[in-house]
Amino acid sequence: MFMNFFEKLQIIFKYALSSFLGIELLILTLLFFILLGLNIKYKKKIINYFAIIVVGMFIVTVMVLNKDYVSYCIDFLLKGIMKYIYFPSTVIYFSIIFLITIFIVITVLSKKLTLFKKVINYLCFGILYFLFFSFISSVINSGVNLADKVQLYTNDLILAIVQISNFIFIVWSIYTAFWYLFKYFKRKYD
Amino acid sequence: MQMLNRQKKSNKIIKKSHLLIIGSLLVFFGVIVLSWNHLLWLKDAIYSDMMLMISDEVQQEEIIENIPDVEVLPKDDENDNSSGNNIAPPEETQQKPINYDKYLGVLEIPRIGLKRGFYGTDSKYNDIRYNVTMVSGSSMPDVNRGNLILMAHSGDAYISYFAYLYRLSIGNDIYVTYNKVKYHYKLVNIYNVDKTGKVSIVRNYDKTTLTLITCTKDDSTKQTVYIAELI
Repeated sequence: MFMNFFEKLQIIFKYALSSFLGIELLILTLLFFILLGLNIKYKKKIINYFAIIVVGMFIVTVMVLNKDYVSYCIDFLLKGIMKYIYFPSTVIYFSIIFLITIFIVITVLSKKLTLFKKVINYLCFGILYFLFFSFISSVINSGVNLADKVQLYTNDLILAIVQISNFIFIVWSIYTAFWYLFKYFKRKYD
Repeated sequence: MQMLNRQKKSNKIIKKSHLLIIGSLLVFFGVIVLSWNHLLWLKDAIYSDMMLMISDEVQQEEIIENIPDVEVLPKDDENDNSSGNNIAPPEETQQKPINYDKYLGVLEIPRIGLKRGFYGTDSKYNDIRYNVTMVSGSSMPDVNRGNLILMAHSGDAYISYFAYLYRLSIGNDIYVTYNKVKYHYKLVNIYNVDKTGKVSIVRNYDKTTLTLITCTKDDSTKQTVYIAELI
């Protein structure tokens, strides 16, 4: 179990050369790499599209053959994200506040942001800061242990503050993402 | 003149960037709407995990009981028949009110990956619209020859906690944790009954049992009853 880097490489090479399937996979990967590499010089678009289709079909085939596990993976990922939204650890919550601080600085100093975007940013960040200070004061008043998730989230006020903060942060993030996407479309197509 | 016409045209025609952003928004919200049910199910699972964590934490806390004062009374000449020292009756201790906002027990079926808490019959959360529901009249697992009856929806909704019960077969293990004790049951019988509003439970009255009731898969006219016996 405790292998160094070279031992791990050794095991992989042993596997790759141990069976016909391993050798086949190695040769196909090398050929694919050579094909794409040579195409940098010859610049044939059809080769690029072909490569994308081959890779795409390979991924889709693997996903279809293991669809139960793929669905389990997607659920696991979504559940993890939603757990951070509904019951984040204090580390995540403080990280979000730290990010907000950086965004405030960017908003204040930026000359590219429109007036409307700046107003929205200041409004969201103001509310988030108010909620953060309320969180700090309620934690101090109730003497809650910040490291204990159970103690933290059995307190309704703290739970409400954290979840509303996360909700506002997510709505702001989605709005910002679409705003930048709109700017990109405008620059490219208009 | 041509410049004016071109300007007018560009003012009237919806810009490509606007179309693209509207399309992106529609796709994004469309995906959210289509997966809304599934997202609600995931949210429910997260809340349930948190509730289980909380109830585990509460059960591990030591309950400090008022230890009654033991008083040794002097021997009374009038009560010669008394043998040895008399122990004064303990003071009446105020019992802690039972908190029905926490799970009363936890149902676990490893075969289908189900782990779900349930509330007592006095709790407002003991409702099939929200949770696995304990039927009134049920006995807890510590009652000898009793029958704990739990029911839940099957189907596609996020509250369909018994959706995969149809995958169970005779001999599968079921666990119920109640009062810090994990009770182990084995599934002994599965049968269908018509959906009439009443369910007949056929069980061995000499055994402590667990009954699970849910709608039959792909049959809206019947309900399936699962009987498990305590090992």
